[in-house]
Amino acid sequence: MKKMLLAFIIYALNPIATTAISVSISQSGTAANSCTRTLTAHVSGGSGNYIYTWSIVDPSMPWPGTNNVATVNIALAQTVDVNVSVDDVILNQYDNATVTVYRTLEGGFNTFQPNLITPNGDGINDTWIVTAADKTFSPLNAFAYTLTIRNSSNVVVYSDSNTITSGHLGIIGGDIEWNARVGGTGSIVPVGIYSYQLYLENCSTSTTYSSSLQVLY
Amino acid sequence: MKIYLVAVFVLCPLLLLGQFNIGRSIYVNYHLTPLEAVLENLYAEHGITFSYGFDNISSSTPITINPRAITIAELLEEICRQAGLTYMIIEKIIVFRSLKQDNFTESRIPETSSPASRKTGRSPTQMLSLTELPRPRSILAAPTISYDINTDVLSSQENQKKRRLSQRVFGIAVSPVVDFNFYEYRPRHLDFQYFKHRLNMGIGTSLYFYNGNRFLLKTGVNWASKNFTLHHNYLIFDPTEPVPIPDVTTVHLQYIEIPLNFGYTILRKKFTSIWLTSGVYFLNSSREDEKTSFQNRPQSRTAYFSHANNTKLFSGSLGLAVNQKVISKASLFIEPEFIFYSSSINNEAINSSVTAFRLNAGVAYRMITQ
Repeated sequence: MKKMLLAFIIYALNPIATTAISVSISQSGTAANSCTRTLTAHVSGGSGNYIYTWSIVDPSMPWPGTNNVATVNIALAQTVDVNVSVDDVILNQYDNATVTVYRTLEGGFNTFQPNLITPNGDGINDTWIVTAADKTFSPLNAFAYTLTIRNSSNVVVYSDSNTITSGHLGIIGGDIEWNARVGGTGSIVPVGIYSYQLYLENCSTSTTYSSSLQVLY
Repeated sequence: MKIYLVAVFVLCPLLLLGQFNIGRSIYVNYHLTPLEAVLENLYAEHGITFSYGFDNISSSTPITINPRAITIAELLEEICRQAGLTYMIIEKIIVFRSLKQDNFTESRIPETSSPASRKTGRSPTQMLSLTELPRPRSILAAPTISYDINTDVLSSQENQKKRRLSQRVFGIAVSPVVDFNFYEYRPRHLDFQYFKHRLNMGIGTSLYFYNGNRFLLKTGVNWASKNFTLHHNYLIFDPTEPVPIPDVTTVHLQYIEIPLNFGYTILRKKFTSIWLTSGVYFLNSSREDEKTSFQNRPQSRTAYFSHANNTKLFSGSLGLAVNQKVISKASLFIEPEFIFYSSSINNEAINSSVTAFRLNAGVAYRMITQ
């Protein structure tokens, strides 16, 4: 009874305390090559004495890390909606916020690597193009690649590398390609057998694909 | 089963040193003497050794021969007459049998007469079925012939066994063949392509000769396939590619084989025998064909490998054969063997060191037995 009376006196005398509690979430580490997403709950109003409750609401699953803190780090293999609810135990006020957290790139790679190209200018299979396994331009589940192509004399005829930082998808089908030209801008390479090494990397795995490639036209 | 061999008295060794002069005269005197005692006396007095089994013949049958000089041929006929026996000479062996179990037809009764035939109406020297045994030689017609007696023959059973084991046999065999070829393929420059082959099949017919003394010679004609395939495994982004994209190339190779196999018996049982075999094969191509299926057009004939086929081959083999007799003249056999080829089946696809594991299984039929 005395506590309730005290709270009423504080609420009546303090004009700031009368502001309603409000919460929002900021997110960092959202780049494709970031392997941890950092979420921070920002609360305004209330007494400043909060209880934070983080949860994954869609799809529903247990919270994987530490709870009742303002900032959390998570790394999930699928995109989820994260909710944080904040309780002001002094003023008995409550608010919550939800944010979409994109998956981090981890696990196996999803690629289709042709082993035959026909750079004859007919527009069909003129370019060696790495796509998702279903030959679509879906993500390959990698954020970095290095490609080296050699001829039968083991001379490098093309090389390229890149790390994707923008967005959250990483490398998608079509990002890795070779137009059958020396260095990408020279003349079309002769018909023959070429070898390639394609290095792919994500948060949990790195793989080098080494195989051969036939140029035919 | 018709019992035609009631008792076999094998004269063993009949007369000294295996020489038997059936026209020689000896002096005998028997009065109601048991047959067994007569034979023992002939051995003791005249060196005539009998080795026999009595079976259905009574060894106590009394024999009476008045004192006189008599040839061995006449003595044998007299013994037969009194004991109800008949005898014949087959392959220089005297075979006795019981008259009571004869079932000859009258047409087989010979015209020649003898003391026995005058009594029984049949000639004791020619009463065996001509379909069962060779025509007997009349001892009366050639009384001075010397006969070599096989001194190793101790009983009818052992005699049969030895005769079986010494038979020379000509036969024919037919067998399907399964070949597990161990090809060592040449590496492809495109590492995603690979060769493959399934079980290759064949069939063979052969004539064989067994000399009766562990050795077998076999030759004939086999037909065997040596097919293989190349899986191109091309992966293309756009399947509408106008350039032909090969998918699977199948090379059909079939050979006519002329085998010359030798066998040596390592186990001989009544129904089962096991042989070590070795041989050579001369192969000549009988069919060469290569077809390729494409990802973006119909299958057609190609020549990726056909130019490098070897049409003539030579091979050697080592194996084991198990033969199981199933009926009197036929047997089943299974013959696993390793085959080593002198050269590659195809120089473009396969390295020279080719081996195969062959499984023959079939039926052998004895056509002639001597």
